[in-house]
Amino acid sequence: MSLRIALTKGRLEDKTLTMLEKSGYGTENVRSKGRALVLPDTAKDIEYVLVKSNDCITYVEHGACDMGVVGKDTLMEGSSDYFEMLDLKTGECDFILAALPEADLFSQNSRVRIGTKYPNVAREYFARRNMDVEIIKIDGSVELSPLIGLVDGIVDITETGSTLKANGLVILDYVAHISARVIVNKASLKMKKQEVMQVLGDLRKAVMENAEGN
Amino acid sequence: MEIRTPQGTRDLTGQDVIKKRSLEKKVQDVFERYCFEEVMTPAFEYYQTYNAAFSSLEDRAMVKFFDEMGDILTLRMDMTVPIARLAAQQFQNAPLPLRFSYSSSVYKVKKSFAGKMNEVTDTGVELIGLNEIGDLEILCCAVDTLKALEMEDYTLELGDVNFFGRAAKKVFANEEDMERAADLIDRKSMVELEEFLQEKQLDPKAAAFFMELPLLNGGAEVLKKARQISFDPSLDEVIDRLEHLYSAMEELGDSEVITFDLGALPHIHYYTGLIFAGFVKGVGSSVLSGGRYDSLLSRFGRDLPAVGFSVKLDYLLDQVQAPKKTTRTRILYPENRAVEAFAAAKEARVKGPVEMVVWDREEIVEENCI
Repeated sequence: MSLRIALTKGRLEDKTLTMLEKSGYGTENVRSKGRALVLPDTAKDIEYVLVKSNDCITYVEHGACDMGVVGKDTLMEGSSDYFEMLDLKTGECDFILAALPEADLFSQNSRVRIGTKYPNVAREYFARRNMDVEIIKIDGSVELSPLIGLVDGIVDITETGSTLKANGLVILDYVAHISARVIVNKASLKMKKQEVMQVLGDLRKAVMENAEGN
Repeated sequence: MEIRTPQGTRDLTGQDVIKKRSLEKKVQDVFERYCFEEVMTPAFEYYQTYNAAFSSLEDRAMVKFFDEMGDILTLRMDMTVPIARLAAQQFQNAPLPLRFSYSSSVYKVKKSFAGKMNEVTDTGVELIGLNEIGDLEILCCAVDTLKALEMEDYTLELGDVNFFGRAAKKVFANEEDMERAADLIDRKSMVELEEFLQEKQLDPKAAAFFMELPLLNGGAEVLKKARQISFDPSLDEVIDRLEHLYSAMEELGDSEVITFDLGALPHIHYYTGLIFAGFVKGVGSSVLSGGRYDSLLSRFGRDLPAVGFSVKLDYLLDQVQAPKKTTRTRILYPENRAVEAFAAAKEARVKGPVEMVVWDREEIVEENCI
């Protein structure tokens, strides 16, 4: 039975393909993509589709794709009706809480306002600390929002921290570590178990090789 | 105001209605052959009823409103709770076991714009008043139900919440940890499960057991694997029971479609033993689900064991062809000869459906069409 795999476009795409290539997957069609949206593997009975991260979850939850590769940040913000079966240990970064150095989020008396692209992640983080904060959803560069006084702090993703630093923001806390994850449709694991486990096994091998390489 | 169906609902027309009714009939025929008696309950219940039934209620998923006394009502989320209420209250002197079937709409609020329905039809059975002896009957009925759907490829996957539950009671300090572990295992969230188990500093054997659980799915070989990682006789008992059920199904010639998943842990406070789920090729979620819920009826004042399952027919509509329409007779007639035409129709209707068409010609014409 053939498998359909959703790959998140952009940063994770290249890294995932390299890992698949190590186990002999034929990813040429994905590498040299023209206008085609569904890209067959040249060596195995697999089709790839390139999607935006949020859509990756949607396609997998409905079973339109059997598996998907997507960042933990997207999984944490979205729904969870899938199996999350492997950490690819790539595309790594952190969810952080940051603010201007003079801000004192944890002891200010007025209500704390937080800017973020990830309202669910932010809400959960503050709920864990038993803090009632106001969350403001920002779509563009979140770093801007505390600089011009819209919010007191931000919950955002950072890889190196350089954008934060360039804007004079300091990291107050690490909310969660993020990396690329493999998710699997619940019925696909049951109906196409062998095929799914094969891909997971090949990817797991690549993760281990990467770890040894480092 | 824009006039349309509310979020998460839809109108069902034409072929879809025919498909759904035809599937429903196939399933209900199976239920009848097992002597399940159909019941209908109100579309809404008191919120209190659901609150009593579940220790942790998916509050936000309920459609709630008030009655004129100010009590909170809720559209039924499932059919099992209303039937448990019914069995506890109205059938106190009836001989056991009780066998009920149903096919009714149930309501759960799903995330907007995710392509999921808030109203679906639940078609299922409940076998009340039999302990584990009843498991085989319900499994046979579930297999026959899947068979009756006439899908290309399907499986019925068995598990038992006690395999996790008994192990968890031995190692986790509190309810909260148990729930967290169950959730991570149920979602096969391997990464976080490993982190969680490390954080709890379980002894290596127990940690290995819980890490293996999410992967314990597949054919009968899973039970052998389960026995290897089992670290307590009470866990072996669970495997014994599943093996016993499997060999019974084998003797009955139905074991081919049986698989196992010991890491499936839905609603751990609700199910008390055997659980199972049916999958068919082409549908991205389970289409049949059920299990044993021995503690539910006691919450309504009558301590009876029970087991049941339901099918979500709505998930199957894209997988089936509508049955061929029967031929019908069409009678074309002029307005002034209506009585004559309807007399002819009356006769023809004994044999099959008749469609009446008014036209501007003088004669009455009877024709067959598809």
